[in-house]
This record gives sequence, C-alpha cells and structure tokens, in this order.
Amino acid sequence: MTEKRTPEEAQMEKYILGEMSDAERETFEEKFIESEEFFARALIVENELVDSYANETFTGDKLVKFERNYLTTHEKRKKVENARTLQTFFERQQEEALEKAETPVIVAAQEKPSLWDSIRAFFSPQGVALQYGMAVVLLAVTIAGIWLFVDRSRLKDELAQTKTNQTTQKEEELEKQIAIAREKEQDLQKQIGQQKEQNNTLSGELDVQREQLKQLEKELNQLRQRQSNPSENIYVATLIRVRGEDVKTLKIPQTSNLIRLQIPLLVADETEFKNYEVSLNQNSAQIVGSGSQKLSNTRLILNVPSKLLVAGDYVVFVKGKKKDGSVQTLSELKIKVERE
Amino acid sequence: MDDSNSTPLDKLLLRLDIDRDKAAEKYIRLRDELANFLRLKNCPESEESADEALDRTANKIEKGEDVQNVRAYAFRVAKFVLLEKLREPHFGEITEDEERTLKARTYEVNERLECLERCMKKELNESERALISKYYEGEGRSKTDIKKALAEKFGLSMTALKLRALRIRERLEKCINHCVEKGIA
Repeated sequence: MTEKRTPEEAQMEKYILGEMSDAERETFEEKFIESEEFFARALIVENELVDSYANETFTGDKLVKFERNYLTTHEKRKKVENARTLQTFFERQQEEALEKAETPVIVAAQEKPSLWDSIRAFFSPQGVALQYGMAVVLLAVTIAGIWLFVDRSRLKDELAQTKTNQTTQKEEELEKQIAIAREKEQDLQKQIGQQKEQNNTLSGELDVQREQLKQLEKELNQLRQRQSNPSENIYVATLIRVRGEDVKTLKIPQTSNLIRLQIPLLVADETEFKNYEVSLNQNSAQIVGSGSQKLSNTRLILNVPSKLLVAGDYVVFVKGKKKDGSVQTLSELKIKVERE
Repeated sequence: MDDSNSTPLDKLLLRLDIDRDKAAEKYIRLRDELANFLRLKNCPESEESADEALDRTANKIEKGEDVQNVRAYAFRVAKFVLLEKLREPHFGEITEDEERTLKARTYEVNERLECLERCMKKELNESERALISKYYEGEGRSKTDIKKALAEKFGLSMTALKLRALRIRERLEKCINHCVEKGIA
C-alpha cells in the first residue's frame, strides 16, 4: 500500500483489522448507517488491504493482525482468493500486451533509381526543368530514407532499453519476493521445531494424567456403588482418547441415575477460547448439551440423565467458542454404551 | 397497485422508489451493502443473513411500522440477525467450511482464472474492462500515477474513480463466486 492514508481511512483500516474496542466499533458503524458513501469508502480500504495481503506486501505486525483478525471466515478468505485471481489475471494481461509491443517495426525500402539513370535523366535534352525537379525530389527522398533509418535505430535502442529496465525491475521484484518467502520458510521451520518439542513434553504429561484419572475414576465408582441411597447413584466416566481405540465402550450399571462424562482437555493457549460446550449426539441429533462452561481442572463435564442413555452408539462433540464469537470443533469422541 | 394484494416485498420496494425498476436496483444495492457489512462483522453466511434482514424489514413495513429510513432500519435489523446467528452452535459447519477453503486453494486456482475471464466478457462493457484493467496495472509508485492519469482521462475525482472500480470489482467477484460454486458464468 503506497498511498498515504487519511485519518478517516486509518480509522477504517483499524475497524477492518479488528483493532477497535466494542464501543468504538458501535460508534463507527453508525457512520456506515448514516452514509452510503462512507461505507463504500470503507469497502475500498478493505479491498486495498486484501490486495496488499494477496500481493504479500504485508510484513511483521500488520501481517499478523490481518491473518489473525481478518481471515476469520470463509467469505473473507474467499475474498483474498479473488484478489489473487484478479492480480494474476491482470499481470498476465500486461505481459501479453508487452509481448505484442515487441513486434519489430519494419520500414519499407525505398527503391532508389540507379546513379547512372539519374545522371542520364538529369542531362536528358527533354524537359530539363522537369528532370531537375525530379532530381530534387529524389534527393529529398534519399535524405528522408537516411533519416528514417537513423530514427529506427534510435527507437530500437529505446525499446531495448525499456525492455531491459522492465526486465530488471521485474527481476528485482521477484528476487525480493523470493527473499521474503525464504525468510517466512525459515520462521515456520523454527516454529515447527519448537512445536515438536512442546508436543513431546505435553505427551509425557498427558500419560501421567491419564493414569491418575483412571485410578480416581475407579475409586469414585466404587465409592458411589457402596452408597445405599439410589438417588445418589452416579456413574462417572472419563473419556480419554487412547491410541488405537476408535470407540470407547461404557458399561453402565442399570442402577445408575446419572451418568457424568468427564472430558480432559489440554489446550496450548487457555485464553484462546472464551468458553466450551459439550454435547451428546446420536444419529446427528443432540440428546443433551452442557451449555457454555469453563474448563475446570483441565476437564469439561456433561451430566446425562440415565434414562436418556440407553444402549447404543453415540458421539460426544467438544466445541470451543472464541472471543470473536466463532465456534471451533475441538474433539469428536465415539462411545458405545452397554447397560448392565 | 391494489394494496390488499401487495406482499411485504412489494411494500418495501415502493418505499425504496415509486418506479418499480429503480426500486429493484435500490433493493439489490441495499442487499449487497448489508451482505458486505455482515461479512465485515464476521457473519458466517452474510448473503443469507442480508436476505433475512430485508425480509424482516419488509414485514415490519407491511405491519405498519413507521420506518422513516429504510436503509438505516435494515442495517440495524441486520445487526440483530447477526447476533442471533452467532449465538447458534455451528455443528459441523465450521468443519465443512474449513474443508472447502482447503479445497479452494488447490483445484480452484485455474477455475477462478477461467471464471474471471468469462465474467470480464459477460459482466462488463468495453469501457469498464479498460478501466478495471488499467486500475490494477503497475506496481508501487507507478500504480498511484496510473490511477491519477486514469481519473483524469475519465474526468473523475480519485474518490469517484475508486468507487467506480469498487462497483466493477464487486460485480466481478460476485460473478466469479457464482461461477466457481455452480460452474456457470
């Protein structure tokens, strides 16, 4: 983006990149409602931002903001794809136009009368004045021919120079883009390395947690079963994904009144999601949902009345809701219920 | 028109303009504005939501609500529609959405170019094609100079030129999206 932003356009950019507070945004949107032209100018700013991103001219902070705050929906990502399409299309059009301009200019050769004929004609007894006039014309044509030849050479040189400049410019642009792409690649590789290290650590911690949870679950179930009051008979199951186990089987006693499903959830960034939702589904229909809940001791809970959980196959969905309101499916767990 | 047989849409169009054809143009213009507004606000289905906002506006007018400024009213209704939309759980939608986006990166690149070529011929006249081609020409500083020259050539201010380019681009993008999704341009 080479054009300098007016203060108004800077505000529009701030709005589009999600940098305003809720109150600022509400106030700003009133301007869209008041003025069709104002809103149209905001869309122009949006297009300019999208074009700059598609052209890979964003770096650093702006790049991060754009990717984090703008590329949040399918429609916006589609807009970026369209921008790339437009750029590619018009670049190709310009290249084709340049190629056509390289067609050499051909100057028709003037047929010059031989020197001997000219001399003969000049000294011919018939119409010396006419002869003389023709000679002058001939001379003029010769001079014009020489001038055209010189001019053509000059134009050819200019064209070659222009081509060279354009090629050099294009080469420099491409080299720049390659350097940026290489930098990006190195950054990403570094991040991948760091992520791998993190994953290994988390994997180890997860194994320990799994063991502990299994033990606790066993003890809790034993305790519940010893209770005499049937209304307090709760069956607790912890849904941990075990490698090689696609479906977890739950054997639930008929005496259970309530089934408590515990889903351990480890997230790299706890601030990423505002809250979570767990739901139990069968044949694409929801049986019961937890509503919004926060993570408690890295666990989510779903309480299911026993009468709703008959023998059969179910799917438990875990979804996280982000601060911008978007919802992301985090986990899909298949369970098979057997009633004893 | 006999009022008793008017649909809510008829009444909305009448509020936009007394001339039916002009009213239809204004309706489409307003619908596009609402869709763009909702898209900026991260609405997952901005076009459907824009339609919903206009349907509700039309129903309010039909019920006799005093709507002074149709555009402003529709924008406010759109904000409510969006709030409702964001409260809904998107079971499976996000997953399909992301899948589609991934697919778009691979096989759609050439399809989009072909669609754009068809849309340029179908949607734009020669003057518009020349304007938009020139508008996107050049790099860096020269791009600004080219736009200035273009504005002078068409006798427009820079803002007016940018607005005209915006409208042309909107039509092209709409056409490309339709073409890619349906395979029709």
